Amino acid sequence: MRLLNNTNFDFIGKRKLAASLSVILILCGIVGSIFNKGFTLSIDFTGGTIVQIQFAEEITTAEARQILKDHGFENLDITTISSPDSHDDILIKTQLSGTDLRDKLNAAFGDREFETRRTEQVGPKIGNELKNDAIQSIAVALTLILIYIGFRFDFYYAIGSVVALMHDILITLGVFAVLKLEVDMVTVAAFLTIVGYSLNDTIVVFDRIRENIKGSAREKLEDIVNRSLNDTLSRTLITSFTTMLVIVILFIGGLETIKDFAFAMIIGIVVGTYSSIYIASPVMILLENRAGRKIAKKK
Amino acid sequence: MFKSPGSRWIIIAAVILFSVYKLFPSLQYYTMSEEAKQQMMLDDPAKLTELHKQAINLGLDLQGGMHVILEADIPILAQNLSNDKTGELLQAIKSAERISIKNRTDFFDEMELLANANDIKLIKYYSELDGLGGKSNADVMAALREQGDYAINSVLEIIRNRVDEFGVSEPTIQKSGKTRIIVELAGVKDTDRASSLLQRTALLEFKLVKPGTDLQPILDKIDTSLLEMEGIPDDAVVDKNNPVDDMTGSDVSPKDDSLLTTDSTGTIEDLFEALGTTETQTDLLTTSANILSKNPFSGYLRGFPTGLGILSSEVNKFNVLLNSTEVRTLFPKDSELLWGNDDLSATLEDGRFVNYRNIYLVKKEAVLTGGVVTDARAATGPIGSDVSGQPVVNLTMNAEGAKTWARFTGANIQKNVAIVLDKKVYMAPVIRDRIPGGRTQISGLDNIEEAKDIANVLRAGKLPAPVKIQEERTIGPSLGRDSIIAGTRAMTTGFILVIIFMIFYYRGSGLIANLALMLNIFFVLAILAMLNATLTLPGIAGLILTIGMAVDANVIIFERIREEIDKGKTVKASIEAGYEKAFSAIFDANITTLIAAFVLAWIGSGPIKGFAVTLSAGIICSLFSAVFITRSVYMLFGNKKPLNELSI
Repeated sequence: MRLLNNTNFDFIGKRKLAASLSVILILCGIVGSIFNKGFTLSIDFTGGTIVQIQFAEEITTAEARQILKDHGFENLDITTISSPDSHDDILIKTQLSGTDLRDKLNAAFGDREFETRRTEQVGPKIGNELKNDAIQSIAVALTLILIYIGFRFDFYYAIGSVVALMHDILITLGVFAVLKLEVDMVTVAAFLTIVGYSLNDTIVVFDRIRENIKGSAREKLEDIVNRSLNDTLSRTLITSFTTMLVIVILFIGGLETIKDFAFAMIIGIVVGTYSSIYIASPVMILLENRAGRKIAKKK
Repeated sequence: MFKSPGSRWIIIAAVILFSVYKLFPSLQYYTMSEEAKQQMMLDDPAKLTELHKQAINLGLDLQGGMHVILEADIPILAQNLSNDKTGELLQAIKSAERISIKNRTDFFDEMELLANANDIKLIKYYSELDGLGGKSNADVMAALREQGDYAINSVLEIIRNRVDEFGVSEPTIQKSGKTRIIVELAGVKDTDRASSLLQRTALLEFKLVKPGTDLQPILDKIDTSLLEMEGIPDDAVVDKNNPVDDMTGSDVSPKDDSLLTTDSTGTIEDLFEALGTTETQTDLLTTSANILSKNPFSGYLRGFPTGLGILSSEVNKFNVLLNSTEVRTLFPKDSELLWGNDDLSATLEDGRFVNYRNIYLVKKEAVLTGGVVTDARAATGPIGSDVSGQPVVNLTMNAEGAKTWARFTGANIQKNVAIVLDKKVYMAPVIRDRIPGGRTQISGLDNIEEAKDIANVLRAGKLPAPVKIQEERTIGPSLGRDSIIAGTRAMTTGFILVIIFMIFYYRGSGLIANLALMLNIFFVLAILAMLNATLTLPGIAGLILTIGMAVDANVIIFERIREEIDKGKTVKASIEAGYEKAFSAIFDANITTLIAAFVLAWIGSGPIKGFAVTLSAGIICSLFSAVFITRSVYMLFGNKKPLNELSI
C-alpha cells in the first residue's frame, strides 16, 4: 500500500505563508502567557507540597475544601485525579512546604478512612536548583546539537534546524501557557524529546538535500529542497503517524503524571513535523542564499 | 563489514543469547510469589539480594517508595557555634547563605570571602571552637568546615544505623555534595513512620554489658520452654557441653593498658574447636537441625573473634524468635539482647569466609546518654604512650556526665561498656580503670576510618546543625501498581497497533520490521538489566516512544527501497541501495536524539534519568535491530533464490 507517491507539492513557495502562521502562533503563546501571568510552574520548580489521597468513601473537592478550611487551611489547590480501577483521588497542592504540613493534612482527614497514595514535597531551594537544571539541560542540548549538525552538514543547516527547534519549543510552551497546564520536570523531559524528535525529521530532509545537491549543481537551491521534501514526505508522515499512534494511546490510557508528558509530545510531534518542512529548510535556504550573494559580491 | 550472512547470524544469535542470560534473573525475580520471597529472605538472604541485584530495578514510582533529600543547615551551624552572636557576624552569615543559594556555591567559601572582605576577625566569635589550629580567619574557617563535615557525617551514620528499621531490603543512603544526604526506600510500606524515623533525634547510650554467666540461665530457660512447646523431652536441653558459655567468657579479655579497649582475641578456629561438636566444616556455614532440635534458641549463638554472634544468614530467623511473645515474656526485665551495628566476617581454617553479626546482652538501663558528650574525635595515639601511633578516639564529657562516668567506671573495672546508638551496639570496649575528669580514650580500633566512624557515632547525641528535609517524594504501593498496569497496557496496545499498521502498509517487509521491533524491546530490557538501570514510569513512556521511533529506521529504508524499485532497479540492487543511502540519514538522526537523551541523563535526576536511559538504549538498539537484523533477513531470503519480487 502506498500513500503520497511521487508527490510534487510546492512547499517552499508557501514559506512566507508558513512563516506568518508560525509567528502568529508564537505571538499568541506570548500574549497568552502574559495574560495568564507566565507559566504555571509545578512544585518541582516553585517548591511546595502535593498530597494525593484516596478516600474509602468518595468525597467531592468542595467537601475536601470545607474540611481543610475548618482546619485552618486556605488557598489550597484541590482537584481530582481519575484512577483506572476505582473512584477519583483528591489531589491537594500548595506552594507551602515543611514536614508538619503533611502531618497536618493527614490529621485534618483523621476521622475518615483514606490512603495517602502520593506525597511530593520540594523545598524552595531545591526547586530553584531544578529550575536551573531544566533551563541548563535545554540550553546544553541545543548547543551540542548545533555543533553536531554544523560539523556533519554546515553551519547554515545547523542554524536552520535550531531555529526550527526553538519554534517547536516556543509553540508547545505557548500552548501550555494558554491552557494553564503545569510545567514540571517531566514536561521538560518531553520538551527535550520533542527536540530530539523534530530534529530527527529535519535531519532526514537535510540528508536528502545533501544527497540531491551533489548531482545537480545548476539547479536552484529552492527546487532541490522542494524535491527533497517531496521525496521524504511519505516517510515523514508515516513516522509521525506511528509515533503519534503510541503517544495518543499513552495520553488516553496513561496516568496523570504521564498525561502532561503525552500531551506535550502530541503538540510537539505535530509542530515538529510541520517545522521540519516549513521552517528548518526555508531558514537554511535564506541563510545559504544570503551567504551566496555575499560571496558573489566579493568576486 | 559482515558481508557473509553466516557471520551476521552468529552475531545476532550471540546478542540474543546474551540478552536472554541478562534477563533471566528479572524473569525469575518478578515471577516469584511474595511468599516465596519471604521464605527465601529467611533461608538464604544473600541469594535473594543477589537475584534482586541482577534483576531490572523498578523505580520508586512503580513499586512505591520514598525518596528523600536531607540537608544539614550549615548557616545555622555557623551561627550556633559562635560565642558572640552580634550584628557583624550574623550579617556575614546571612549574606553568605543568600549568595551561596543563588550561585550554588559553598557556604563556607562565601563566608570566608565576606569575612575577609569586611575585615571581620572571626577568632573573636569562635574562640571556643573545637579543633582550632590558629587564630587567623583561615584557621577558624578550617575548624568550622570540619564541624560541618562532622555534622553531616554523624547524620549519615545515624540514618545508616536505622536501615533495618525502615523495613525495606535495600535502602540507598548516600551523601550528595557536602551537606546533603539522599535516602531512597523502595517499597517502604509505612511512609509516615519512615519520614519520622529519618528526622528522629538519635539516641546514644552507654550500657553495661552483662557477662556470659548471666546469659546462660536465660538461654537455658528459653530453650527449655521452647522445647516444651514443641513437646520434645527437656533432658536434651540441659547439656553441660553447651558451647555458648565457653564462648562468652572470651569476651572479656584485656589486651593492652589503654583505659578502654576493644576485644579481638582468639582465632575462629579456636572458637569453633571450642564448640566441641562433631560438626564438619561445611556445617559451620549453617546451624544444623540437629543442634536446633536440642537448643532451639541458643543453638544459633556462636563464639566469634569479636565475641558472641549469629551467622548473617540466620539473623532474620533469630530475630523472628527473639521478637516472639514467648521469648519476650521469658526474658528478664532488666536486660536486653542488642545487635552489633554491622555484619563482620571471619576466616575459617580452610580459607573460606563466614559472615556474622555480634549480639550483646546488656543492662537495659543506660548509664549515660549522648547528651553528656561534648566532643569526640579520632586521632592517633600520642608518641610515647602505650597506644603510640594507633588509632584512638578521644571522648570528652561535661562535668555532670564525668561524675557519673567516674563512679560507673570505678565500679565496673574489667567489664565491658557498650556504645549504643539507636539500639545498635557499635563497640563494647573493656573498662581498664576508673576514668575521672570526663576525658576518655578508646583504643583497640582497627584503623583510623573505624575511629572516625566511632567518633561520628559518639557525636550523634549533640547535633548543632538542624537537619531539614529538602525534598520528599512518596508513592504508595497501590499507585505504583496502577502505574505498572496502565503503563503495560499502553505499551501493549501501542505495540499491537504499530505492528498491524506495518503489516498493512509494508506487507512482508512489515513483518521483518515487526520482528526487529520485538527484538528491539527485548534488547532494551536486557541493556537495562545489564546497566542495573532503574525502570521508572517516564522510563516506560520512553520505551513506548521507542516503539514509535524504532520503526522509523525501517520506514526510511523501505521508502528508499520503493523509490529504487520505481527507478527500475532489480530487487537485489534496490535493497542494497536502499540500505546504503538510508544509513546516513538514520545515523545522523539517531545521534542527535541521543545527544538530547544524554544531556537528560546527565542533568536530570530520578525518573527523568530513567526516561533518558531507556530512550538512549532504545536508540542504540534500534540501530542494531532495525538496520542490521532486517538486512540479514533480506540476505537470508536473497541467498536461497534470487529475489525477483519483494513484498513491500
